[in-house]
Amino acid sequence: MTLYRQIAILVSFLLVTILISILMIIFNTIINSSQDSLYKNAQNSATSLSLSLASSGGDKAMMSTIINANFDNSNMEKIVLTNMQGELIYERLRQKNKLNIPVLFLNLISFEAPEAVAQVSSGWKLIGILSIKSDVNVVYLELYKTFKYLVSTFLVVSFVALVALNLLLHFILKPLVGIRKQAESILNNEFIIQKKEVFTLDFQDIVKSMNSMVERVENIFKEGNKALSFNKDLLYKDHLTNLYNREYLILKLNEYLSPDNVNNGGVIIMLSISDTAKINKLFGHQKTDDLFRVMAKQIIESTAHFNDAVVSRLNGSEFNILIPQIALVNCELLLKEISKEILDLFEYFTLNEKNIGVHIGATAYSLEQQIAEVFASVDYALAQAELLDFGQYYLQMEDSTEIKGKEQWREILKNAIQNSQIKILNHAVVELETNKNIHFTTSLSLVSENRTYKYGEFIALAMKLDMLDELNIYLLKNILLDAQKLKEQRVYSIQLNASFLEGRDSVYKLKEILQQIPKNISTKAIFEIPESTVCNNLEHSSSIIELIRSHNFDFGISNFIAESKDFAYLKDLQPLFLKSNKDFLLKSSATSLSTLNMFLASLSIKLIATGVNTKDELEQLKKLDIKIIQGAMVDTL
Amino acid sequence: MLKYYSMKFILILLTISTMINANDYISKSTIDKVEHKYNSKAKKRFITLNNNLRDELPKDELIKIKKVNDYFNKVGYSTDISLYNQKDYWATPNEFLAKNLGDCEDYVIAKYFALRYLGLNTSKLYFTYVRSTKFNTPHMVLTYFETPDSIPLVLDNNKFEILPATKREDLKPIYYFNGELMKKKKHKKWDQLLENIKRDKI
Repeated sequence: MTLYRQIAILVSFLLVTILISILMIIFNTIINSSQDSLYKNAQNSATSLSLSLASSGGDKAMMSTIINANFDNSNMEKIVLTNMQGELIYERLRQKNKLNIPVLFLNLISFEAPEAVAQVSSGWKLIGILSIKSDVNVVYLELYKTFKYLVSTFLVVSFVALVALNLLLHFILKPLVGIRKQAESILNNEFIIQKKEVFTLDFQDIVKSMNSMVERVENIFKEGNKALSFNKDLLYKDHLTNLYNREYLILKLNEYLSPDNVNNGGVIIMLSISDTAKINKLFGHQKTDDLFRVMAKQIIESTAHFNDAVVSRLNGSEFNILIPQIALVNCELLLKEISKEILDLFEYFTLNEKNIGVHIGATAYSLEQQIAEVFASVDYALAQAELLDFGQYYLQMEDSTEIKGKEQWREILKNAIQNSQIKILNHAVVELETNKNIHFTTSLSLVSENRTYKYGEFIALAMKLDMLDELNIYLLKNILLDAQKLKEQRVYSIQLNASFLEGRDSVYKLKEILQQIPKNISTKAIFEIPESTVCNNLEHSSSIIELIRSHNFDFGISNFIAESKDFAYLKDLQPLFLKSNKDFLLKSSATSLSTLNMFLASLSIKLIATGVNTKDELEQLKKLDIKIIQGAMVDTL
Repeated sequence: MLKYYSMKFILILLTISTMINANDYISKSTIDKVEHKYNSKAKKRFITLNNNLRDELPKDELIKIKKVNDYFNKVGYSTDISLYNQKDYWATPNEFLAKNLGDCEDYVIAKYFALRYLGLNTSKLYFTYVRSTKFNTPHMVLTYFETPDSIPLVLDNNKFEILPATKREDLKPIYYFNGELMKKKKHKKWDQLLENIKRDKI
């Protein structure tokens, strides 16, 4: 319960108690005063009537007449005259009318009808005692009227007082609301500073402290973000041309060659400037640097319209262009354009020496290849290009036999889904300090005709055969529903394919898939979204994440290689974890990893190293303060 | 010589103090207060009253009435205006005796409470509002009814002799009042009087 509510209840209770007490005191005073005045009236009536009766000389008829005259013109309930021995001489009683007053009220006030007594005499002789009792009905009616008025006044006063109290409390406790919002915002990685001056003295220090704390957390975040971007530039950028370097190319190629990556096929182009030593000699270093800068700019411009293209400078004279999702034959135009532009550039720089020129070799890459094979292939293409004249390029053509197996694969996948031949494999993700399973990451294997196919072997084909949705539904249903049936308390981490997520209708498709999962399912699941997917289209990714969260699931980021220029998206999206390949982490400097760790700690995001398969890797990662791992080494812990 | 008188004075005081006991009409503490506020003469009046009343306790009603009437009629008359700066004030018996002054109501009150102490049934005693035909002024006397139907005896501060009412042609009865007859306190003067007595007002 909030402090406001507690204070409001307490003060309201006190206020209502005070008002009720005042109401009761006033009402009791009125009752006492009424009773008092009623008795006084009765006593006065008794005295004056007794004086009147004194003139009767003890004559009964006379006395009765005097009593009748008084009674008929009074509010008396009864008048009784007895002689000195207590025997009745004469009496008058008023018949009681039923009052139009609630019985509860009558019982509540217990009003006593006062009775006054006076001595009646005639000369020195005592005639008797006169007793007069007032009629309380009149008073009851008056009291009930007063009571109704008091209660209605009380209600109005209470209402006004409570409204005023509410406003006052809101005003006084306003800083607390601000402080609460600040605290909640920090949890959501938002930084709000209270600028308004606080009226309540006690809250001023709290607001100051909160503002100071928010500022500090914000600074940690900003500094971390800045340091990460700076480290990224240091690690992955060629300082002369601002192109990516060889390290980055390897990381991206590694990522692209993953089975579930939409970019797992395309073209890799190598450009080599011949005799750079001569260029340096002719122009001097500064002009040569200018030449390379302009060249880099031109290559970037020429490849800008290709999605996810990576342009890098591998060494002093070699440049590389990685263009996913394109056939080798379709990039000839680009190669011609780049070749012409470089030659024009040389001309512009008056480089007309015969040994100075550019060689361009290109080849296709595909999922089936290892990184080393891709580099060997493109190196071969470049070597072949170097045999050609400047300005020409060499294409190392691919040998595709994939079409042959497509229909067979369709059958295999269909049967596997129908006959539940796809097995779900769970791999534990472990926290090193506690040896505790953080969650289980899932992948699939397919068993067909006594052969087991790994995830990478069939997922690319499923993508091409447009069967990814069926596989995703199969995966989700089996993981979540099986876990529900087995009442497992495990947390599952489910990888969503980049190509699936990046599709235009992925939100709609995922919605349809999630709708097939019962809403009351208790199994906890985290969906992994690749970093590249998030960075490529933050808005689209946000919609997917929102959808996931609306079904009470959570999300984490996979394949993290610190790709983005700004890491503020982590603050906005708040993933549970970042999964990064051990290669990325091991190649990063200790300083940049420490910055990354600090940055992620400020956002409460866990960093998980994936593909940790050897003891050596594990030890190195431990030294780099990596606390959670995934991979073959998990089984040895 | 001086020593002799001092010793005698102390002995007298001791004798007086031993005469005051718990069942007295007026308590020792009240008498001490009276002495403190007024003087030793006032104190002596109270002690004498205590002694007189104690002596009268076992005696006949009529003797009691006479003794009480005689004792209080020795107190001087004074109007309420000059004594209390009020037009009409009912003084407590202690105020009346301490000041040794009072008006007709004060005599009636003092006699009434003394007789009540002496065991008289208060239903026989009435504060009686009368008109003095002699002086043509309002007046108050205490009347004693031996039986409800009998002719009352009049205890008056103007005429010390106790006579049957029929022989008091100088008085015309107007109204009888007995506070004890009332079921609840509601007579303004009577209620105030009881309150003052309760507070031991002197």
